[in-house]
Amino acid sequence: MLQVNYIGAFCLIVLGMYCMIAKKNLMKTCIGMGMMDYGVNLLIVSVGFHDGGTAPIFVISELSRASFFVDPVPQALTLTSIVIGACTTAMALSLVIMAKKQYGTINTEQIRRLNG
Amino acid sequence: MKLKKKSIIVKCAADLFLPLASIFGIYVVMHGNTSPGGGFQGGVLIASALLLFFLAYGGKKMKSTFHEGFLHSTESLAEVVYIVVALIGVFAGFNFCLNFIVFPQFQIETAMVMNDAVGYHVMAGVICLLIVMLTTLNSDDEDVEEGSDQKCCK
Amino acid sequence: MTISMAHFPILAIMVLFLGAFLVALFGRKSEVLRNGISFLATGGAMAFMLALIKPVMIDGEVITYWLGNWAPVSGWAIGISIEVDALSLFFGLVITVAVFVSCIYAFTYMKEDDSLANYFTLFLMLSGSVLGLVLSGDLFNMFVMIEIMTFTAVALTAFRNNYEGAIEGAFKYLAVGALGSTAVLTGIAILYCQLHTLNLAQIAATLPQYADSPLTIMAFGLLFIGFGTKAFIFPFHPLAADAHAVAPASISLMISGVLTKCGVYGIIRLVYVLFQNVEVPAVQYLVVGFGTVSMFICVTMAFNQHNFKRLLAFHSISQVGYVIAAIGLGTALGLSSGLYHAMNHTLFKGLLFLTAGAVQHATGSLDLDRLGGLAKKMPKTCILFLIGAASISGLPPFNGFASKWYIYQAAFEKGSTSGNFFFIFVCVVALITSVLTLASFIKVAQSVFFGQLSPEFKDTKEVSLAMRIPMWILAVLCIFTGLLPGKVSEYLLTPATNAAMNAVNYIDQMMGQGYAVSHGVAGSLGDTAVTFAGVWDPVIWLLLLFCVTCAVAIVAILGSNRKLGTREAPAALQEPEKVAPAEAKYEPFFSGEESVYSQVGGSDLFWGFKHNLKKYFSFMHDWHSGIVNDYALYGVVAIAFVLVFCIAFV
Repeated sequence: MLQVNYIGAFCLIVLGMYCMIAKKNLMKTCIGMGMMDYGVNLLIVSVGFHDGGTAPIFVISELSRASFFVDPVPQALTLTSIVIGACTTAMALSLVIMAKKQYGTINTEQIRRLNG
Repeated sequence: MKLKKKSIIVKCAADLFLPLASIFGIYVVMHGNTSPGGGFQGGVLIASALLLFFLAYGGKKMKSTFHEGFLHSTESLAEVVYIVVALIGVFAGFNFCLNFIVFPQFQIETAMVMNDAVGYHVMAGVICLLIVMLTTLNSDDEDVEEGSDQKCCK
Repeated sequence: MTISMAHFPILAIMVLFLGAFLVALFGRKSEVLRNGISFLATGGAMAFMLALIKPVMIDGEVITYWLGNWAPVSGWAIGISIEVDALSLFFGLVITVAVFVSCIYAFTYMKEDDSLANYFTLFLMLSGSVLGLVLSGDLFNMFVMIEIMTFTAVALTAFRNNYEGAIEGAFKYLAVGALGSTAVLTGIAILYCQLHTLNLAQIAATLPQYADSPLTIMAFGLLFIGFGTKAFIFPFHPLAADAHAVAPASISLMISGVLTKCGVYGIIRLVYVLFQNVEVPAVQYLVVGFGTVSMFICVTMAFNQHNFKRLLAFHSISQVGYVIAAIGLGTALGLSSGLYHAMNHTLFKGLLFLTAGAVQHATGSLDLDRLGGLAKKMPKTCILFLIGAASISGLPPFNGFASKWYIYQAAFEKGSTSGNFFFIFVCVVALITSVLTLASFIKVAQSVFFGQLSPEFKDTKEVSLAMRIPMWILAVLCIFTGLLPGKVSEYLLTPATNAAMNAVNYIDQMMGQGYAVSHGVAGSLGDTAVTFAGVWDPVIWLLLLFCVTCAVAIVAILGSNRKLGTREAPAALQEPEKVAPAEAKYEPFFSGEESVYSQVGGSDLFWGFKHNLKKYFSFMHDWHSGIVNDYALYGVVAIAFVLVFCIAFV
């Protein structure tokens, strides 16, 4: 059975890693970091899916044996992970702004005063 | 090519949508314990109203309307409220983060207080973050006053 | 309204977070309030941890705690838990002591910086998240704490953003650290897919029936390399070098002493409690291999460095390599010696970073080629530096000797009982690394403290007492843990080792008696009795060292024609006391004009060694290129290698 969402999640992660390795612009490195995070979020949500299930929102009096929900725990994990991804992106972008002010450029081959 | 003048269409649209965005965000925060949403999502929705404001009115007006210092001091207050509410249960003998205020018929419980605290904190934090990011590198960009709207954008 | 002891762990974590937000509220207006709140928060956390020693370490209880009173329902864990056994408490003690010392040091060291309310807020959040990581009993909670830890450490590294390279170092730390965090989260997602639970005890109980499926093995590989990124093992070590060189000294203590230990704690929980596959030979090769390679490569890199703190950073990773190699051995002695060395590393590395901070505070420079002769101006800092250098090199009465001896013994015994030459090789590499560490610290001592004082640093003064007190606390702890290894082992190490190797107890305390056996978990791993070989007593070694020092001093004083205690001799006439053997070579080249400034600097020592290995050193210099893309490439290659190795051999 072809699980498109799992394949898509791993493709996103690998593409994000490729962006971080091959692109010489600091903004593109930030985009790569963000793509890796989104790929993992997609993976976590896909893990919790059951075929034919509905959203796990209910009023306790209407709950019966026949109700079939998707797993709510991975959804909570994904929410937390999205928040963490937003914080990572915010911090990385702040550092890029400060780097532009200090170095005048955002080319990674010129921002390398700490080496050796 | 920089947009030197804020056009009147953007201003009218922002005036129309700003209250809707803010009310929707507050709705998502307050109903966090019974429907999808909660503190973080609602806080970011309210803070996105700031972006509409920036597009319509520019950086200088944005800084004078949203008082960054006040928001920065009260966001820590909201977080302290969150921790204190979570710790009250400990002193009464229960474990940490227990739901001890429960009114099931009104659907109010401790989770709602904590949601509101987190929602305010996230809103204040994201607004301060956006103000800093949007005004750091463009500080030499002059905003043309919105008096004459006969000139078209360059 | 008494608070039972079960609430102490969560109170320790929350008091740090509450302190962070109170400092953010009140810290801008008043310096006294800010310092007071930080001191109370860190002191309170340390007090809670010390109060837990009696029930957990001595009586052997395990404190289990479900947040929000969500107890397990029909054998399935539905809440977030906190479980404090002896291993968690061991790391908790080390962390809270380091946090307390760093906090007191920062009061004086950071006095000339501004926006200190932000510094203390971030610092208290860093401490709270680290303590939350080691006390947590839930896998996703550990991930969230790792992320808070990474952000605050990056923000604090970039704190002095007027330093050259601060923003750059922080960005590299964030970017490559994000790789590690992604690996951990992917591992957790895959583990959840297989087992549908996130509680550490329940994972440990239900994992053995899936032990052969490729999903579980992939999760193991990803989690291992993810936690390894936080501990800065081999291909991730350039981040640590860059971050330490620009961070303030109190934050360097936190990064090297506390954050690396969190990575080590994660690896121990993974290998000993969750997967319990430390007896599989392939896993031993993997963990010990990474540790040995980190150990050796970083100590050779240290010969090329010109910045004091960057050199200390490479040594820090080399010592963490020792710890990981010892943990990977899989025996009780291996784990015990690894834990001992982890504790000692926090103490002596923290002391060395704080002395580097003192030198920076007094002179404003960290360049090994320009400093020199500071022992005359800063004698007390010099003594503290020498205590730290002797500890890290493994000289007898200090704690480095005790833990390194146990590591050599553990590696050798493992090699002889399993008949495998690989572990003997590891023991030999560890000995060579220790010798190279000593050589490197002789170089640093000569180029910073001994030798001639450069004219531009003529009016440096000794640092104030408020900065020396935290350094003395660490030095005294170094000496005590070195002089009393039997007591340390009995009260701290043996309970921690027994707790780590006895996964059945861990599971049963959390989920109810008999849970582990009903799921088919085997008993404890291996023999937990630890006996130390060799007949030696640190007090006797201390007396021997004292006698030899007295003899050398008497000969030196009688042999020279200087009077003892003259202070009028000009700086140029003072000869360096601890002379490296290479000094005699330079004398013909100095024309005898005593007023000429001719300090044998850091780059001149061991020049023969560096010249002969020129190819290796220049290859290493180019390999650490400073470009963030290259470091990300090394990280991705490491993740790929670990995944392939795990699926093929484990």
